[in-house]
Amino acid sequence: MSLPRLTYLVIALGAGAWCALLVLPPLLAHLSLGGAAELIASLFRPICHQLEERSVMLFGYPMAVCSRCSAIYVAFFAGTLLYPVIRKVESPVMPPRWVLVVALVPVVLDVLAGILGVHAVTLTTRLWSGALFGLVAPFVIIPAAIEGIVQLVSRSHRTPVHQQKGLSDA
Amino acid sequence: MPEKPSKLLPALYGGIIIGVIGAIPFLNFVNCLCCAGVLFGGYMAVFFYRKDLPPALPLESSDGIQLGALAGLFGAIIGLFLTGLIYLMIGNVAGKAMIEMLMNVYDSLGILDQMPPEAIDQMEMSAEESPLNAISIIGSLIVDPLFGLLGGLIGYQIHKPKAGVPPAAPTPTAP
Repeated sequence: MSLPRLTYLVIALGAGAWCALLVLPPLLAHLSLGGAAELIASLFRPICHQLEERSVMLFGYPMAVCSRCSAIYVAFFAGTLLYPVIRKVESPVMPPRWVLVVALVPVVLDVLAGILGVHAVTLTTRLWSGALFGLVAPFVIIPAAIEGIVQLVSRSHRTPVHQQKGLSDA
Repeated sequence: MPEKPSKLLPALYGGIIIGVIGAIPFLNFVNCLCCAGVLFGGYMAVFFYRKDLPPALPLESSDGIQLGALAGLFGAIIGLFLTGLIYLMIGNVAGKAMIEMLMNVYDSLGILDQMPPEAIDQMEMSAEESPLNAISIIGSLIVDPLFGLLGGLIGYQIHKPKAGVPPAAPTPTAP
């Protein structure tokens, strides 16, 4: 398997595993495995407020992170799966730099509007604004990650040549 | 060909940003939005590095990966140290405020009276606990480099050289 494909596969598997972890706490709680559910949920405590009233419920239990974070992560995974359909994995194309900023605008507006009380922040606004950002993010991150990994690997292959040169110079 | 500058210092600056945002009570709520503070630190590491980079050398995506991950690692260590220090000095103020806010919400919804006293006691006890435990330490050491790396890649996408514009030629040195 080529290095770009391998990098893509690692990102896709990582994003999938991350999303599976989000769903595990409600699933485990539903199966009466409260201790394991609590342990996994606590892993996400430093990165999300986990307020129950702002979370998506599965089997009557909240997911590991809030609705906005859930939307971002699940949409990121969906975008990662969509990536090879829209772009070529072997030849990464960087999108224009404004793409990510535009995708971030609804999230920022939703958060600010909620803080300032301009409009009621609902589950729907959280999910849609988060999902838009999450769906766009892989198209920015994956090509940069593939390009970067290829650069790092090719550089590490070149290192012994440099070392040899250094030795012969000495 | 000039050599690329060291990545250590820009990554450390990014790590300090991550650590400070993650440790200061209430400011660390920024991380509740998909680790925005960690992403920002990774981005800033690339920003600082870009400033040190000679015009002849282009910023590469591998720079973004290395800077972001390193900033995240520094940020996790600095953040854990500062979190412990702040807890020793003033206790878990953010935890207490969070529980108080939750109690107010439950009270306004009229469900506080229906809650078992043991549940309320447990919530109050958890607010007194140190935010540092094995899970938070392991979690920070995994999550911060990961999200820092993503921030570094975003930083690269924003600060990458424009397509079709070749890097400036190195200035000739006097013989």
